Amino acid sequence: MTNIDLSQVTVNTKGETPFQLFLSLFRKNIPATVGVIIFLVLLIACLLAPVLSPFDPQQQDIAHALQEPSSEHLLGTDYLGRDIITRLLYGGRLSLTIGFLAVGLGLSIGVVLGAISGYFGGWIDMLIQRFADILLSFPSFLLALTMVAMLGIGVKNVILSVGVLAIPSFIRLVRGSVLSQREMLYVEAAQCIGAKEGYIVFRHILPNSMAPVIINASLNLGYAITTAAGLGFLGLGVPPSTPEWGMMLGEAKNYIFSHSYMLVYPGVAIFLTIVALNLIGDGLRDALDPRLKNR
Amino acid sequence: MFKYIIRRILISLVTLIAISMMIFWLLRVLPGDPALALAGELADAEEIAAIRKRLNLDKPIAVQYLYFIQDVSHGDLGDSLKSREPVLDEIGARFPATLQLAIISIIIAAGLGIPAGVLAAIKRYTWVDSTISILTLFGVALPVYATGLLLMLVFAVKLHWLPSAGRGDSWHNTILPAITLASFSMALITRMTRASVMEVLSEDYVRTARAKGHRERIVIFRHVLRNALIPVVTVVGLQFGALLGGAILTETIFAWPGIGQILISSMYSRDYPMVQGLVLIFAALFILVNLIVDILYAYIDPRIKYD
Repeated sequence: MTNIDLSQVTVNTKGETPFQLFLSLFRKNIPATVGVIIFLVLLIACLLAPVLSPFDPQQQDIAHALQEPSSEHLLGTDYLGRDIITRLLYGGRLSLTIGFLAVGLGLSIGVVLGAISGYFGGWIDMLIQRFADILLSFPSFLLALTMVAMLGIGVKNVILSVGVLAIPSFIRLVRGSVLSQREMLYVEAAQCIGAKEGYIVFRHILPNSMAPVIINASLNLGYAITTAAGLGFLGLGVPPSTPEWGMMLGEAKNYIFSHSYMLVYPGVAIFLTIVALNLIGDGLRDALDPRLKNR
Repeated sequence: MFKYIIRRILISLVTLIAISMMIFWLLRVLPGDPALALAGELADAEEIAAIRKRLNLDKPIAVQYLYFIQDVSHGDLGDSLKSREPVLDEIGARFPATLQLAIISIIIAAGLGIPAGVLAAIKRYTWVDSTISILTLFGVALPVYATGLLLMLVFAVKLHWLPSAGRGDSWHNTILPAITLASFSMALITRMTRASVMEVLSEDYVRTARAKGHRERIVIFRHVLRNALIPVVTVVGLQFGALLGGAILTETIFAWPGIGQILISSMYSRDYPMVQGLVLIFAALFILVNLIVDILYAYIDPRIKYD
């Protein structure tokens, strides 16, 4: 990294705010922009599901089961005669909701525990770190699987199980960040004017540690969605008949010999979502943390 | 160094005990009476009471845990509700299949991923680099079950080149599951190797080596790779542990008779002792692999100091 390409160095001469600077950096990143476009198209299509499709995703019509794509059913119907594209759109709603809520859960718990761990140190730090160790000492899919087996099938339980997986990475990240920020002059200044510890952590230190948290959240989102879909694929995630990408893939597997095209749709949907989220995550990392560029 | 290893082993032990508590607790919070489940529907009250006593279910929960630990330390993980065979025997019978799959997969992942990463770094910002990064994007973005079904669809169902299920007698059966399981790790190893090699390429000692007039091949193999591959070794080791998680889905898709497949089928049939034993074995293996990787790392990279 000694050969610095001067055209890539951004000098803040225009008095841009950090957010404007971030936007201009992010926009120059073509893959990231492509990721945002793919993601927005998917998101809007899923949100508009009731407008775009005249069908009910759970409405069975055995007489018209396993139909090939036609003008009425653009992607055909599944083994219970349900319209596949409708289920795909509603499934996307659910997959994205599960992903966002799970990461949100992991983020809130992880950030708070990480901040406490890093700022206070001592036995509480030790305790929180062992907790993170335990969560990290399972292969992550196994942990989600075991938790769902324990809690039972259901959307809430899937969110909880997948959310727990995200906790340790946020704990580690925020702890490290807080440890380095704690020694900064502005923290000392805040202590001098008599600010309370909680205030210092949440008002001063955490906002300054947010960049890696945002990057981690965007990368974890894709992982949460695939893990949840993996549970659905095994039939251990959401209740039967709920439209969900993983479960659709699992059901389509039974027709791999006769109606193999059915596999492709949920597979492509998952793939596009994860590609988009990965591109966005990498773009965020480059724009928020230029030091890591080219890694 | 020695102190570090001892500390690392102690932490692993503590983690394992915490996990055993969690798994033990898992069985107690599940709905239904384990004694009732064991005895079957036709048992009378007397039989159930006898089983309850035999399993120590009439004792306080802390005492039950100690009995459980005592049994586990003797290698007794209980009997499967379905087959009535000892859990450990069933796991032992299926473990070689999982190990075979995991070892072949990590060889594929490292054997293709490391050279691809080195190539991408040496030819950085060319079409070679771009092609490799697009391929790794596929590997990272396709979850293992989608990769597995896609490969099965193309090579087994459409082309009839390879069998789609089972372990079989020939190595043909191993190809699809192994590639499926390897794909994610391969992509990750490629990315890590590329990043690591690129970082080392910008080091002063590489410039010195070039300035001395060494041929590029010598610079890459003798100076760059030796240093760049240190972090890669860790990633490969950690990925071997992660493959255990991926094996659960891969084995289920390809009906590969390993411990991942039996875990899922035990979950379907609510065979709790089996699930408990398998989760414990999976966690113990994962901890063991990560412990070995950490200790190896300390040996490989003498620059790192541990207190």
